[in-house]
Amino acid sequence: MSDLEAQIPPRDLDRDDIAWFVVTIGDHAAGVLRVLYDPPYQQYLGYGLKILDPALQVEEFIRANRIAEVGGLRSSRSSVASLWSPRP
Amino acid sequence: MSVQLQMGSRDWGPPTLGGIIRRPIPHTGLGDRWLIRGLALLGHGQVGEVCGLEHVSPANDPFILALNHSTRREALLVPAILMLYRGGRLIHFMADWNYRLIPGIGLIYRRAQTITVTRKSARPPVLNRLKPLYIERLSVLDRSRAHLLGGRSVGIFLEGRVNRDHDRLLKGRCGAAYLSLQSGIPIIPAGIRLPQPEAGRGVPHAPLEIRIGSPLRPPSPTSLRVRIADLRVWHAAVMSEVGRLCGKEWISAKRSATMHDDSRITTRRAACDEDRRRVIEILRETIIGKSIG
Repeated sequence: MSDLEAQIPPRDLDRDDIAWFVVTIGDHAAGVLRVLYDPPYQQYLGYGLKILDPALQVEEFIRANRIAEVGGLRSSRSSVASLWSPRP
Repeated sequence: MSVQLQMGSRDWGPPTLGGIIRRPIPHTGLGDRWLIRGLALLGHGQVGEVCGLEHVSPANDPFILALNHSTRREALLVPAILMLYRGGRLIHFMADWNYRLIPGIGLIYRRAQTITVTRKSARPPVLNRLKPLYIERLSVLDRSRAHLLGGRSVGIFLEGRVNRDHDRLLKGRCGAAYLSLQSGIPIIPAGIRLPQPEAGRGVPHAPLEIRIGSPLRPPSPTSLRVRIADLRVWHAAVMSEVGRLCGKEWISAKRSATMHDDSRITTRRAACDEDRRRVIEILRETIIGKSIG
């Protein structure tokens, strides 16, 4: 649980460069979204990505463009997850 | 829905009569100065606390101010209060053309350099004969874009009409999100709150509360071609934030149409410790790596 606490420290709520969103369906919590604006290049280095196209200059691209990294996680509770299905 | 304001936001209590009369308005002429004061005096007692005014200070121009729309009076009072606070610096609000037919209101809208929208029909329909007088060569979006690119801010009541529902926002129009994505200019979300009586209807002339949020910066690189998918996501983010600020729920029209009748999807920015606890709970229940999509 302490690791999860570290995922969203209280100071994140006041930051302009990160936003957490709670997604609900009716009264049920369905998932979370995290939007990270202008993520630092160091973060991408940490992912250990292997660049398939050597012509792609990731650092240059990140510096020259406005980037937002969006991550979404869905609740695993079946009663909630089933509601995501379209109506037949 | 609980609301916690950003730390450090500057709150402004109901303006006093003396404060309205004495507040300097250096960025406009004498006539407009007294027009703004007059409107603010008219709204005295009708506007309560205003939070987050620092986000709409002239130093932050240009921005797109995006608000909900609960009553007709706020279309005059909110711009007047904001212009008073901004020392007379205009925010160019979009406004329906038929209001310009009303004596006095037409003058105010003209002086405030509103962006006239001619989409709706007039009531009674016979007044539509006057509509061509208000149709301009450039579209509403083009005129708004010109203001933004000129460093002037634009105000949009996202719902496009008065919405008296105390619990839910209308699906809203995507113009603010479109302009923001296209120009890269941030959206300042704002919620206008009315006191809610037990019966569910608004209290006539009860003081409005205005809660102005932090700027929402468009997530994608600026491009003249805006993808529909990006537009939907950005519009949803803006509406959700306006919903949080005004205390109403926003439901994606597409989602709600494909969901079970008793299920409603909402997206709300985590803003207080209760929200943070909820995020942690969801993270705990989550299958890592399974995307909401």
